[in-house]
Amino acid sequence: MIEIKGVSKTYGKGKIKALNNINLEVRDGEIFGFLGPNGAGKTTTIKQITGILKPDSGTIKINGIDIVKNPVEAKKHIGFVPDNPEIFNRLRGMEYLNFIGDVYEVPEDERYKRINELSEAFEIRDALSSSINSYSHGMKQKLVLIGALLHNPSVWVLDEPMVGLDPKSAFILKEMMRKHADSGKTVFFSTHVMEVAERLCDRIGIIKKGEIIFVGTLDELRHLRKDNDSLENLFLELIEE
Amino acid sequence: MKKAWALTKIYINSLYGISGFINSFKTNKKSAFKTIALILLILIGLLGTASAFIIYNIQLYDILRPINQQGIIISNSFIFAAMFTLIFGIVGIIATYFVDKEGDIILSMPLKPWNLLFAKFFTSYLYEAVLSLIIMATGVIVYGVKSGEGLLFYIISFIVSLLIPVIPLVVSYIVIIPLMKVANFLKKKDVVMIISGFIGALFGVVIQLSFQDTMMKMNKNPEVLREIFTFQNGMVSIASRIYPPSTWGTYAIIDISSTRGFTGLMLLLLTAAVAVILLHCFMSEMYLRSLIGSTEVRKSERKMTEKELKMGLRRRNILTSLLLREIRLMNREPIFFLNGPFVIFLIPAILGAMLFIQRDVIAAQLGTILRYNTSSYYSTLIVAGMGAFLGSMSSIASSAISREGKAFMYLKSMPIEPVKYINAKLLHAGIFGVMAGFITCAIGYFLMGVTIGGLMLAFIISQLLMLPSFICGLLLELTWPKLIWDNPQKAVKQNINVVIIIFGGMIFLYGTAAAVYFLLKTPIYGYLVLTIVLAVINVVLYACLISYGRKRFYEIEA
Ligand SMILES: Nc1ncnc2c1ncn2[C@@H]1O[C@H](COP(=O)(O)OP(=O)(O)O)[C@@H](O)[C@H]1O
Ligand SMILES: [Mg+2]
Repeated sequence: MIEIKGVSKTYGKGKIKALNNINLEVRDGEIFGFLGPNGAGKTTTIKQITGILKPDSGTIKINGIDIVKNPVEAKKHIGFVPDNPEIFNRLRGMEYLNFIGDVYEVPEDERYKRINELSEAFEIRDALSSSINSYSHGMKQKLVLIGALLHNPSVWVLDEPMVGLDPKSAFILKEMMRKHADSGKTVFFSTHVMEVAERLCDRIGIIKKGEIIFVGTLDELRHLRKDNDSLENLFLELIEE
Repeated sequence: MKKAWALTKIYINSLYGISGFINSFKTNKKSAFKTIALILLILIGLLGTASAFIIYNIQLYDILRPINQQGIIISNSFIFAAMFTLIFGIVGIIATYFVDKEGDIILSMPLKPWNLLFAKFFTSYLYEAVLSLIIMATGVIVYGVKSGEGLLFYIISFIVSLLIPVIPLVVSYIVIIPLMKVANFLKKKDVVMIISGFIGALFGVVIQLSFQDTMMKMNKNPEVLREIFTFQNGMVSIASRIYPPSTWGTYAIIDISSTRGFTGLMLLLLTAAVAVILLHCFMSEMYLRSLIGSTEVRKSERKMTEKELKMGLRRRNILTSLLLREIRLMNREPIFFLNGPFVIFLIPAILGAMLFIQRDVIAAQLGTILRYNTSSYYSTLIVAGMGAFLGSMSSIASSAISREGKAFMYLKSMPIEPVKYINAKLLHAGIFGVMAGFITCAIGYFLMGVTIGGLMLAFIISQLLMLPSFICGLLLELTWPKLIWDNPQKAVKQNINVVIIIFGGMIFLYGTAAAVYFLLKTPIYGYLVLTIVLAVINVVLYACLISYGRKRFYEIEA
């Protein structure tokens, strides 16, 4: 569960207003899609959920734990995939995963089991002995994804996860997200493509220029307009207004 | 030529960040003030180091004047300058060989191979010229003032100083370009970069030792000795048997109005010009080919077995894991390694060779300082000081957070205790600090004859002396990290925190040395007070670091 209450954020010592009084609740057992055009504030929101940035005001709780007051505890509940997999380029894939395993205190046998499974599924097992700087963008993303899921976190936070993944891996990821939510846990992901959200999400939130302009199920979004427009057009209309 | 200059400007800005400095002067008073403070810091630090050379040269002048051989001071400085520019040239060229992913962008521009090489050559030349000017100044100023020379003397000295680095730099490129070509071919760029760094250092040491050897042989030869003492500054000509340009340069500086002075200058100019032209004629093609495809890296094609995977996944405690990550990330990035831990091995190699060559002179000089029974006290402290100097040159702590770059933000999303994170960084610097301590103790043992007991004390004091620079480096990095960069050079070479710590560290050491010299004259009392005071400073600084870092870690935003 993720609870965001009254969060605002500015950049550049208050000059650029990125988020204005955001309120959101992502419940257990659901996939929540966070939609918005480029520069709307999706990444900024996600960076605050994961403790990378400190909100100027407001609170964020992960499974009831405040991310600012108790960061180390709260972060243990999160599996995070950033939009740009700029990670420790000079490590080998396996060294990276082992480091993540140490940080999240994953026991050795479990570590082995999950890395074996996940790297097999995403087809990067053979690359694990190579240096990360020899990976393609997609391979880096897969590695980060495996790292994020290594400690079996209850809350998944993914920033534009489908960008750069090949179709097969994207399909596997979607399946995994579904399974995770169905087992009663939380998935929060951002995207700027309505189509992805439409197929996958239980509920969506739409953000525009740092403000939430819609939160609800896809049906609720359809009911907003009586005419039989596509969701894509609806989304475009909403963010144009 | 126009294109070559345009590219040169790009390189200069990318490597030295000069336009950023100039802009800060134009637009922001506050940051201009910071810049001036920084320059002052560098000057004071340099002055301290240069003063050692100056004092040495003054004493040498007084010894040599009666036998009419004072020209040695100039030829000595010339040879030092050439040697330093050679060694730093090799290391500097390696560290700046691949700039800003140029393999992909700059190579796609319509430039001739020699344009590329010239731009890179000139950029490294600038840095070398400054180095040469500083080293030459310590000799030229002493000679000039003592002999009452006029303006022309200083002008010629300036020109000669600018010419000195040209030949060493050409030699460095001739050595390195083929190495890089091989590196590129093998797709093992990183390994070859580090190996060439060591080869460069070794090369410098070998040259110094063979120089020493030749000098010894000549001194034993009566023929040569007669030649030396019958001509004014005859000793200068001896240097020419090892490195002729040094004689040309020296005669040009001390005697420009004579034929040998004038021909010296002409010869120097001519050789430098020919060397540069030859380099560009014959090496440009190879240079270009060494860059093409340089962004590729080799992948291991081997499949990983179950067993290997299982073996690789070992659980470690978090501090060990963080420390291991630090060491791997630093040592595997050649630019980080060459600007950081490598310095700990490079400087002793240079200084050790220098001390070895000059050991008789230095012993005589130390003898005057170290009269009474306190000689072991001062030599112990000198070893401690050298160790601390070396340790604080590694830049490991003062670039600790900047080196993370954009990945720092990702790191912040992990449940890592800031205190453990900071301790791992401090430990990383500490490990190389311990190595620096051992290396200088070895120098103290073999070259200065310090006793084992003295060395143990020297080791402890050296650690206590360098620790403040690590802690202050981390404090600076926590406050002003430089996280946005695309070229690792920016996290170390262009990182103001690194510069502040190197020169601030020097000033701290000179201050301590002065305090010891004037206030702590007796051994037992001296050791005791020094150790206690330093220990207290370290405890207080560490407490500040932890209480500040615990909070600050979460506030750092790129
Ligand atoms: N580090 C930063 N400094 C200044 N402004 C930023 C920074 N990061 C993001 N912004 C600004 O904040 C706003 C929201 O950005 P972001 O959260 O990255 O949007 P999104 O992820 O939805 O594309 C944009 O206007 C962007 O320009
Ligand atoms: Mg984004």
